Amino acid sequence: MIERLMRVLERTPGVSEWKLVARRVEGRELFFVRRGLDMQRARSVRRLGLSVYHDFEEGGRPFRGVVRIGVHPEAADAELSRWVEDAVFAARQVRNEPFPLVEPGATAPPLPASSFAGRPLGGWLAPLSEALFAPGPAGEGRAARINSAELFLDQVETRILSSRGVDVSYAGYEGYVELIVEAEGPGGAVELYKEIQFAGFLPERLSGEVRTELELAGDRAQAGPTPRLKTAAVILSGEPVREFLGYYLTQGAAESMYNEISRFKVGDSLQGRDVRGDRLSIRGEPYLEGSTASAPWDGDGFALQSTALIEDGVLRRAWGPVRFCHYLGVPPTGGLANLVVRPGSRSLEEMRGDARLEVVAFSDFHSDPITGDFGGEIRLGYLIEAGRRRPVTGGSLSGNVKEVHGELYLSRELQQLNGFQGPQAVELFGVAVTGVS
Amino acid sequence: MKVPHSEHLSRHRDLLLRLLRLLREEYPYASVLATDSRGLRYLVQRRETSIQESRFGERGFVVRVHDGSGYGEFSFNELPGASHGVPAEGPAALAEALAAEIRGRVEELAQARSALPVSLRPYPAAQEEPFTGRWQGEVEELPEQTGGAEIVRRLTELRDRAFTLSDYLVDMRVLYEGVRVSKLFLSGARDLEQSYLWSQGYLVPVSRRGEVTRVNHKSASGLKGTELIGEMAGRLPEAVKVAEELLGARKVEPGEYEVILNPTVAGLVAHESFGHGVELDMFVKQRAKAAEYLGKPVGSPLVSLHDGARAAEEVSSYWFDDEGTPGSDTLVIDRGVFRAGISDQLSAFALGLPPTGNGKRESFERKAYARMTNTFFSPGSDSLEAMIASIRHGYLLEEFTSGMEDPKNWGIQGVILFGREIRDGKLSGVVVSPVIITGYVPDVLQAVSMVSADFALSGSGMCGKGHKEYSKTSTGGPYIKTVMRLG
Repeated sequence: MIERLMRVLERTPGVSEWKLVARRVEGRELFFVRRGLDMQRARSVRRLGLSVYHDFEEGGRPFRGVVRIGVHPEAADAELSRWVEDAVFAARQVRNEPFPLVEPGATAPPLPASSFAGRPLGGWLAPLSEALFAPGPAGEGRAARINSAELFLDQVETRILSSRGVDVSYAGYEGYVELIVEAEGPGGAVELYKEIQFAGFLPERLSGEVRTELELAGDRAQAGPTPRLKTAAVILSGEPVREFLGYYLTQGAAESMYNEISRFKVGDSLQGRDVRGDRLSIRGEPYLEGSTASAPWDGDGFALQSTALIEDGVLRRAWGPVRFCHYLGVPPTGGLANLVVRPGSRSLEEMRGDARLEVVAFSDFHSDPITGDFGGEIRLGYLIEAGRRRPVTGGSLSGNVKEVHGELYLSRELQQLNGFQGPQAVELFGVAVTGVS
Repeated sequence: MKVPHSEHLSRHRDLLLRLLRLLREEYPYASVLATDSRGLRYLVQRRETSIQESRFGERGFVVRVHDGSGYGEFSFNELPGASHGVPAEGPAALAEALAAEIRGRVEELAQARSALPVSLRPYPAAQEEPFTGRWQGEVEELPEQTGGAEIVRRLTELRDRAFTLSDYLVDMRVLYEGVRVSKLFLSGARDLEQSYLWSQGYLVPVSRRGEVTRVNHKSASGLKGTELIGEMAGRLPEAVKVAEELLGARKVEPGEYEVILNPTVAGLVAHESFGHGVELDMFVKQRAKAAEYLGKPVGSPLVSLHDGARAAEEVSSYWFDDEGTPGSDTLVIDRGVFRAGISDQLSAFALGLPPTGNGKRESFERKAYARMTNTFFSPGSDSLEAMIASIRHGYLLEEFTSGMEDPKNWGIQGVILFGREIRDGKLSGVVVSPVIITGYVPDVLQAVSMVSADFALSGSGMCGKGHKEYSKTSTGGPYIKTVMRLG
């Protein structure tokens, strides 16, 4: 298929350059309802993403237009030709500043082999299912258990080619579990939702995440209503930490700077002038054990390296693909694979030493990467008062990153959420809390 | 004009019929869904333009079989031994090869199943009523006829006009996406083909004053072609005006208020609060609080709610779903009483109900789930003016950013882009943003005290099942007055 497509690209007028990202996916899927298997699926697909570049001049100004289309492996030759011709025609309308493509020749260390590589995909379904169901019901008298779960395991081969001569490839595994746990409490049954991603067979990690979620569901079943606090010192724990920090990644992106969504420039303090708490340090990493985001190359075939993006609250690199870094006149980092955030100065125990609202699960924590607004409905939190930590649920919290980041504290304890490794918790002050009692 | 059927599907129809015959000789039930959906997403910004394949583009096949024990599926987009199209040896040989491949997959699934630490949930093999035919949607302008150059020109014109309307814009994103959906479904009793086109557009002005940056978004959608860009043009002045107003937005004082939900926000509440909770696979998993309320009051008598592919003409209107079941119109809540849920084939089997035509897949690569289509509250008889006049201190909530379901506990969560304060029966001119709405579904629906005669649907964006399985849905209704917690 790729050879056929390359022949079409060669003979189509107006194709200045091209890039192809080819992914072959072999997948197996199991769908559980309680401890019963509801459905099984298998998947074998090839996805081809073609970028067609067309260089032209208008009014004495040079432009490089690009159109990205999907190419289907069962397409007939005539269809392929039509798609490429249509893409060239459309690219003539795209008046973007010229930019270079990735040149071949760079090297990138290969990804370490996944532990899944040792046997056929289908052979992992039973051990993964055993790890998923190993924890069993949790919590004395609370009967927290798995309501339902979906298990996906994909073997993915990626190849990136371009007219510049780039031809790189890598392979990996993408595991995914959607987990729904439930528990009975005085107010009836409650549930919690969790996504777990993994790239290798780490049964203890999987069972541990299920166990933690069962315990949290048990707590939610016992939770009282969140009190009306107006504003409070809060601890965001678990997944919301990653979402909260997403603001800085958008603001440090070369594309955001080019489009003036971000006003930051390299050397700026991202947390403002007066920083009393912890200062952020964030790195981009091509490889992180267990992460499905690990990749030696970005989507353009650019070799990824460990890169400091933010150090002690100061933006060190505008990050992004070759195109937008070229526009800014800065060296490219390539697209980011994994993010590693340096731990902070406070332990979780220290954070919990004063009156706090610690939120561990939202219905859907929302963080706007442009405005900095964040918030969400509280599915499970803990009110910490006078040395007691009692579960609460309901109500919401909201704030703005720019109003709280002058004094925030990151935990010393770390967590890993697929391609994110960073503090388990972030402590914020003056956050608006809408309670229900 | 009619949306043309897919040549690709026509070319493979004979092959798929042969495959189906072979599979039906072996299995109690077999079906094939073939998809060919294609479209481009055009985005014009201040400094760049991009054109790319829609994320809803797909071309492939999914075979479902009942092997005597349960259901299994195989998704693929390459044919064995063929580099493209039907190979020289002809469709009969290719069908044999494909059937052999599927047999192997089914055996592998059965083998994997036997090693699992769980038991198989039994389902009967589907007994379908005959249903055959072809259906084509109609639009005014097909995107391929309008052409990429003209689409970019129209979007660029909107972008440029936006900058003449405000001195505070730092960026203006104008997006148009049109997707032609073509599907072929074959089973023992079904031979169905449909082609239709949906479009969506966004106007996203980004405003800035001093250190404050705000983003507004206004959308348009429908079973339409590029004529949708004309509708977007009509909404541009309002979109830019709101982006300016947001620069002066305040924070809402957290608390419980009388609120008026505009049709967009009413749609969010319909979708997140009640729609997800009546997807009947949630009943099978015992994840839905609604199961306890079948035939019982869940809201004020002013509240009626529909869902269905044939209940309205919007982006999720189709003739048959991804399991070959005809689309329908389900009256979910009738004057405050919960009457019926919406189902895919398996959840309908599990509950002993007829499927409602809500079995939808993200693409041929994914499983079919019970999903919403066009979900909306029915209009009432009040006027918006009377609703505003009836509130001493509250908010008119407009546009939403996101929402999340909580079917087990019937919590409502939504992030609303902005609200307009109402004081002593009048809009005070104060804008609050963003606003997080929360509440308990029966409380919010019971508190509905006025419903306007207006009606509007919006089908922009995507709906997920949890945090995945994204598909097109539309939501909406009239203006609704109720009580909610704002934060």
